[in-house]
Amino acid sequence: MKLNRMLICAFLWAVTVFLFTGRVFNIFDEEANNLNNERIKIQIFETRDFIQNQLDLGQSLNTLNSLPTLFEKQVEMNNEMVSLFVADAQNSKILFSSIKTQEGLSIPWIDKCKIHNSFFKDTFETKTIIGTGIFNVYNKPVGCVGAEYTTEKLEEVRNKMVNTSSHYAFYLFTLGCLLFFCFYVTPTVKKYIKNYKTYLIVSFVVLLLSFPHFIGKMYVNFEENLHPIIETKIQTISNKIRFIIQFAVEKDVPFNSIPEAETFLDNFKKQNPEIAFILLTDKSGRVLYEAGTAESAFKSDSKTGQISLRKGYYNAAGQIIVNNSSIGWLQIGVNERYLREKVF
Amino acid sequence: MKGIYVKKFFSFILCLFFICPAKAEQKNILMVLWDGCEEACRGFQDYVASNNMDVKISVIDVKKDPKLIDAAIETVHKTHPDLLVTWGTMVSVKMLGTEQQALQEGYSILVPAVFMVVSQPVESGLVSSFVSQGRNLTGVSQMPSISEQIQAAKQFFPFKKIGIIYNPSEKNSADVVNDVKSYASLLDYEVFEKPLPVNKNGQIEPKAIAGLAYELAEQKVDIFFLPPDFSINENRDLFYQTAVSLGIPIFSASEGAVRHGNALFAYTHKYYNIGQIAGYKAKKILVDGIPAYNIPIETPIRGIFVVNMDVAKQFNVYPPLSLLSISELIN
Repeated sequence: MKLNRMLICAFLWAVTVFLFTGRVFNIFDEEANNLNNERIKIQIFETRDFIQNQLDLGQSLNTLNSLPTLFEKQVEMNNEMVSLFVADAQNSKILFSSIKTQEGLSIPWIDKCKIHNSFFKDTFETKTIIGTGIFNVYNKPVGCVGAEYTTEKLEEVRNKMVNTSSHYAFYLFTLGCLLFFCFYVTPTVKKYIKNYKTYLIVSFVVLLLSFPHFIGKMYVNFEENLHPIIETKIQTISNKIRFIIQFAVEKDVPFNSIPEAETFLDNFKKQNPEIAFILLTDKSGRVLYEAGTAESAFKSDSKTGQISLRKGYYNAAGQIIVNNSSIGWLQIGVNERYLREKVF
Repeated sequence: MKGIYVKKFFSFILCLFFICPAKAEQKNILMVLWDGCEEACRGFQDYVASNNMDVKISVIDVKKDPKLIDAAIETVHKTHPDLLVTWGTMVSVKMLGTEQQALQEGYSILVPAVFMVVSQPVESGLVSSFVSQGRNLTGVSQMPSISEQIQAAKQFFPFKKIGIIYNPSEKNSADVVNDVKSYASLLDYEVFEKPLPVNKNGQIEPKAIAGLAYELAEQKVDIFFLPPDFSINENRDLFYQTAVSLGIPIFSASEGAVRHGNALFAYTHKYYNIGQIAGYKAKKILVDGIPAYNIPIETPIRGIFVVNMDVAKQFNVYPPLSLLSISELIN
C-alpha cells in the first residue's frame, strides 16, 4: 500500500469512526433527554391529576391549603427540583409554592398552560421551567402546575458521554490506522522477516477482534453514563406505584388480591421500554403480581444454584410500607442495554 | 365670557363620555331552590363571588312543597329578574314549562333561565336536545349520560349481566332503563329488567322488591343497577339487604345511595361543580351578553367514582388501582 493511499484510507476511516461514534452519542444523548423529560412529566402530571381530582371533588384551587406541604415533600425527594408551585390562570399569580416567598409573584408564561394536556419545558431567564395546565370539570383552564429544575445532572451526564465518545473514537481510529499500517509495511517486512505472513495474520486478527471489544466497551461506558438518569426515572416510577398500592392497602384493599394489579403494572412496563419486568412480592419474596418476564433477566449458577441478575440488568427495589411496617416489595427490573437496538 | 361658556360646554361633553361614564346597572338573579341552599347553590354563589360579578342574588326556597312553586312564578312576573336559576327537575319544569308548553299561547316566563341539577333535561320535556333547542334557557345536568355511567361501571367491575328493578310508572326511571337497554349490544352486556307491580295510584308494593331480586339472581346477573327511582330509593334498605344476602353488588345512578345506603359505587358529578358551571353560564348571559339559547346545556367532562368501602369489604369487590386516584372512598 502506498503512503498516499494509506493516508486517504486513514482519513476515510476517521470520517467513518466520527459518524459512528457521533451516531451512538446522539442516540444516548437524546435518550438521556427523553428519560429526564419523561420523569419530570410523570411528576408534574401526577401533581396536576391530584389537584384536578380535588377540583372534581368540589374544591376550588385557592382553597387547597395543603399544597405547600405536599410540594415541599416533593422538592425534598427530588434533588434537581428547585421549586414546585401552582399559579392562578386568571391573574397569573402564584397561589401556592414550596418556596413561600414565591407566592403572589406573577408568571409571564401563563398562556402556555391554557392548552389542554399541554406540557412545556422552557428556559426563562436562567431557569428551566416545566409546567402543565390545570383544567376544571367544564374544561376551562383554572391554573398551572409549574416546577423549576436545574439541569446540572443532565449536563454532567452529557459531558461524560462526550468524553466517552471522544475516547473511543480515538481508540477505534488508532486501531484502524494500525490495520492500514500493517498493509503499508507488508512489502518491507516481507524482505526482512521469514514468517512475516504469520505475524501479519496474527496482527490482523488481533486488530480485527479488538474492534468488537472496543465497541462493546464503548456501549458499556455509554450505558454507565446513562445509568444515573435511568435510575432517577425508575425511582420516580417506583415511588408512584408504591404510593398507590400503599394507599389502596391503607383503605383496606387486601394486598394479596388487588383488582387488576397486573394490568396496572403492565401499563407502566409498556410505556417505559427500559423496564424489563415489574414484580410485586409479599414479605417472604413470593411473587403476587408480575408484569413482563423476570426469567430472562436472571441466571442461575449451575454449581451453587445461586440466582443473580445478568449483566446489563439492574433491579430497583422498594418496600411497600403500610402503617409503618413493611408488607412487601416492589421490584422493577431494568434492561440497560435496550438502546443498542436503536443504533442499527 | 363667551370663552368660559365654550369651556364649560366642552367640559360637560368630556364628562358625559369619558370622565363620568354611566355606571352599569347591577343585575338581579332569582334562585328558586327545592330544599335550601345546598352544594350546587353554594357552587353557584361562590362562582359569582370569585368572578366579581355585579349581581344581587335573591333566593326562594320551596322547601320540597310543589305548591310554593306557583308563588315563585308570581314573583318572577312581578320582579322581572335579569336571570332565573332553578334547582331540580320539579322546580325547573314547573317554572319554565316543558318545550311543548312553551309553544302554547299564554306562556309567559320570558326571562333567561339557567337550570341545574336536572338529571334528564330531554326526557323531562324541558328541552328537545342539549344544543340548538331554541328556548331562552340553558343549564347543567348532574347525571353523567347512561353510556358514560355504564362504561365507567365496567371499568370498576367488569360485568356481563345487569339486573334492574324499577317502578315503571316513574318516567325518570323508565327512561333510564330504556337507555341502559339501548347500549347493551354496543357495550357488550345483557339487561334483565323487572318492573315492579304498581296499583292504580302508581305506588309499588315494597315486599315485591325482594322477590324480583331473587328472580334476577336466578338469571345470574353480575350486578344490580339502581336507577334514579323514587320508589326503590324509599325502600332501599330492603333492596340492600336482599342484594347482600344474594352476594350481588349494587351500582347506583346517584351518589346518595352510596353515601347513605349500601350501594357499592356510583359514577357521578359533584353538585358543587354543577353550581360552578351554572355560574359560568350565568356570567356568559349577564356579563358577556350571550343569549341563553346560544349556550349549550352540558354535563361536566370529568366524573368521579364514589365507593362505599364497607360494602366493598362485604362483597370483596374493590376499586381497581387505576381508578383509586379518581375515587372518593366512603367509610
